Amino acid sequence: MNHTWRILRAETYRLWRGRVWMWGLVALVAVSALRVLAERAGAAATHAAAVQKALSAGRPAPQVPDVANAYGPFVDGWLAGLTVATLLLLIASSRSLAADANSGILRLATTRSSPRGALVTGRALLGIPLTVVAALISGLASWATAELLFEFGPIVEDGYELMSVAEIHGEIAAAAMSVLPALFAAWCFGLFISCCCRTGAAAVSAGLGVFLAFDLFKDVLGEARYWVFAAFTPSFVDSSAMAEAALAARGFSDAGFSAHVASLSTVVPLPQAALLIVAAIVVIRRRGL
Amino acid sequence: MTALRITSMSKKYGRVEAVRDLSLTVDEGDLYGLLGPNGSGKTTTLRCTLGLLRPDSGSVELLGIPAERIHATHGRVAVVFDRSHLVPRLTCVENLHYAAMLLGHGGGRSINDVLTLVDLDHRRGHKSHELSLGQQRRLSIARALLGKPELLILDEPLSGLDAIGVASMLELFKTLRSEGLTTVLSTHRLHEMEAVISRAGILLDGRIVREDDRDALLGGEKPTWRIDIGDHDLPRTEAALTDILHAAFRRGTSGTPGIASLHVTLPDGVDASAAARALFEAGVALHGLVPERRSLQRVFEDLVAEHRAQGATA
Repeated sequence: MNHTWRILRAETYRLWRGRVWMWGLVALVAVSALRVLAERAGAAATHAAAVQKALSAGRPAPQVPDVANAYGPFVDGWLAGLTVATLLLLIASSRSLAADANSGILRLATTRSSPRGALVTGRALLGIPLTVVAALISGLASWATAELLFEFGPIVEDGYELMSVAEIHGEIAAAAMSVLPALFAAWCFGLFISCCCRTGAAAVSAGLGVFLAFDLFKDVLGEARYWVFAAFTPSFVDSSAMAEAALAARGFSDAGFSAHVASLSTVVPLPQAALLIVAAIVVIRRRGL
Repeated sequence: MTALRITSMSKKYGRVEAVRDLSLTVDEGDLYGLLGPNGSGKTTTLRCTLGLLRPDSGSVELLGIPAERIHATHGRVAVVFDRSHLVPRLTCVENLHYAAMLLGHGGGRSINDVLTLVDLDHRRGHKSHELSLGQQRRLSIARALLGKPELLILDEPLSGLDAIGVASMLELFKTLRSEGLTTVLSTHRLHEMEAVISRAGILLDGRIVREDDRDALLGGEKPTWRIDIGDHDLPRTEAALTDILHAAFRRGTSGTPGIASLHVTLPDGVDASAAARALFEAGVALHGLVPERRSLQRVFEDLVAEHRAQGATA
């Protein structure tokens, strides 16, 4: 554990001082905020089209609609940020060990005081704060933008409150909590790929390739896809809890996972993350550095 | 005590035998040169020695610990690889700080100490990719010297260095040796290494073809002397060498007009002063009597030639 802790500290220091994280931060904030902004722009464009259509038909222009509920755009923005976070975490972890092995930095660690297993476990632990920070940052950026452009409040339809603010918060919080383990598993998957590849570029290509291929073809697997952690990570072809939360935040009563899938979302990602870490340790112990 | 012991180590890459049944020992305080041309197996030997590659057979112990558990030496073994392996976006100090965190325990040389030792104090805030090749190499050596290493292993430490860099590096090796640090270095730059190593192993085609103390390597055979005389004294000198001293000799070129040179191997029982006296008594006016030591380069070239001749015969 001492070795793992040492690697974790050293890698955190290197990440912090290397300042590459700033670009990741900017990407997360920008994507989350732009997604919310796009929602607002879309609403404005729809209204403008309605105005033009009415005026050209000789009818009076419709009134400016009330500002929509912010929860929908907020979750959409957060989901977009988390999708980018998934890709960034996957790229960073895939590159990590492979690039360091190729550049010789791993040799430094192994020859001076760290067993090979600690190289993996230390970096795996680094994924926990990175996952949480990425989720928080994209959530905050999305929240702040939604707060500026929309109004937060309960979901009301025809004067009837479909969902209270507390209920919406509960849905979103539960979705976010079920996405975090899947994000961490994606980080561990990247580490495993990293141990198997010779260069950082090859590892990133392989990591993204496998991950995106699963994303594209997961529908073919039907319900069986939920036995793979990647089904629960936010992605381009999204089936994560956050996508369901985005629907729930707009008042869709049938949104949300079934009880079976919800239980799988809590049971599948972390054991698979642990398996990937063990597999990565086995591989790195056998490879030449 | 033995700092490094390699016993019957072999390593193949596919069909290519990179290292063949290699054995060597490095005692504490030695500055051991693993010498060989490119492709002779030096780097493979070091990678197996450091537990980075698994040898096909044989064993390696560093400070009494098997190479595959090198981490258990707790930083007592330090390595400088043929490439600097620095983190490009970090400054000199940050690179050292990162290495110190990996090392994990205090004591021994601090970051400031090692920066001073390799004369990089003035570049401490510069990013490592902004440094020259020589400075990067010095920084990687500084990184290796952090803490309290007892065995320092360097792969091609002089590559990429200019003449001044080489001189300061050799000076650093001497300093480290005087402090009792055991050092193993692999290189093909024999001329520079001759002055600092205490023992050497010469590696050809993955085999140690000769291993000995430096003095034994350089002076193992009878020393030769260069005798400089005036051209007109040449017949008289040759007669004296043959008839009086019974010495073997061959003519050489002095490079100075009017001066002739002879390379002489003196027989047993005849030292330089006796030879000078005999020549003087024979009426020869000596311009110079200079000992000729075999250089490491020469020893190496002879071994390579011998090895190739054996290979051709086989």
